[in-house]
Amino acid sequence: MKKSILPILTYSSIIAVPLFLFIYAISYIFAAAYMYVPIQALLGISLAIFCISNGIELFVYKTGTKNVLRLSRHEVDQTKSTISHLVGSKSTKTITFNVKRFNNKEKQLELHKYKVQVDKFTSVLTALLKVKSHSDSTLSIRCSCNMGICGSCGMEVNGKPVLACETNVLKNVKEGDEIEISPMTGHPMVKDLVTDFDDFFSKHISVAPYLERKNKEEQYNAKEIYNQSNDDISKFLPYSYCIMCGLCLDACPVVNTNPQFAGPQALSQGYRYYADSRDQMGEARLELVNAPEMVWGCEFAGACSDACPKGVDPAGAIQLLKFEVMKNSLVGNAPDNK
Amino acid sequence: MLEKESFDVRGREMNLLKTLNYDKEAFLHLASFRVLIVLSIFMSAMFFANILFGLFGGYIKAAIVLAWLLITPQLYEVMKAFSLITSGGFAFGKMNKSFLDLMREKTNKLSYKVLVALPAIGIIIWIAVLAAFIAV
Repeated sequence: MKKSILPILTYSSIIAVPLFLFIYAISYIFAAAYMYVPIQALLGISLAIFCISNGIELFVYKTGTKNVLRLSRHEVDQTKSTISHLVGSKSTKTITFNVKRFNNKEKQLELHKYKVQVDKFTSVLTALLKVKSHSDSTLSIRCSCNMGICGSCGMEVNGKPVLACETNVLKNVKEGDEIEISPMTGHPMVKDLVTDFDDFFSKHISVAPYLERKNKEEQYNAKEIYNQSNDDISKFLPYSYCIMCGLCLDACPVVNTNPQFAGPQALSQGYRYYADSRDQMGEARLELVNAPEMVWGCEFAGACSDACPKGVDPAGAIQLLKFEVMKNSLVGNAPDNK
Repeated sequence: MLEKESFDVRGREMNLLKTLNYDKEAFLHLASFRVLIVLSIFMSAMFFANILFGLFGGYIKAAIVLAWLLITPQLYEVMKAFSLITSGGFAFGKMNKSFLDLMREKTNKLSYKVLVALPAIGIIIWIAVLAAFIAV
């Protein structure tokens, strides 16, 4: 028996068995006695095919003679055509990309229009890379992983800060099949869609984003395991998902109007390390953020949390940090001797 | 090696308008606060003029109503922040969905639901009092 027939037999019997069971039940209900025998026979045959084909499949798989991941070219083509038929991926649409590119010589944004054919799966990043490959090789973009992990491809799509790799084109087109792309103006711009993250990283460093122990020898040469309960972990876990994409800073209206403000990313990381039971910086960490350009600069607009692609909730973290600073100022109970 | 040149457009109050593209609540909150800062200077002058010289008597109520309306978004955000802090970041927090699923027991408590409803209740009372103030 050819291996490729096995799945067909298996899947056809998966349909056949319930179908015959259904017909059997109907004929039983309506007492069509003359139908019992042929239906029982067909049911038996389909069950037998189901079991045998499954058994052979299992045997072939267990003995390692079939690599389940290796498909023939015909099978691949068949699967592709089935998927594209189901989701209609072949239907493409031409979208106009209005890309506002930053011209570093003129110090202004210049509008460039590109027409790109997209399907329902095309992300903004894929489309921009297509532009770079086929239409305009001078377009500068920063990207890396193309899967929302590295946080490199932050930009504004229709004015909203997003990760280009996670943003679907067709879900964001405006009237006239147009989409607007611009660099993150909440960061200094370098060229086209590329922004400068030096200021971002210096702000990040300003909150001491690392675990600090009082005993330095222990910190760099730990002898014990620092067990944490689920409650301990849940205090800082969501804030540790930060990928440093900078979308929160671009979305923050305070950063946009006052560049001196440390911003949501740095402050949320300040809280992340403060809330970690392994950290012993305690009060010193709170003093670090107790300044007008640190936690008190936040006006709780909440735009940063909306923009965050990882659900870090920087706005929430900053409010919790503000409360800890206030509590420490009033009663002075920062847990610096954990 | 070429030196990196960058251009910064941050630091302008007009940048607040950018927020309109993705978070209207944030825009309303911040814009009303900035208007309130300017208005409060004029209001203090009006109050003093009224106390000392009996001027602006009829306009005081209108100014209070305006300030009341402008402070409404601030009050709402403050109550949201209170709920957020009291619930440890869960009420009104926008944390990672998979993390929130793990913490479902915390977000199903009655106290959590009360904290979520608190800002709305507070604003209803706030507006009702304003209406009573205007009517009287």
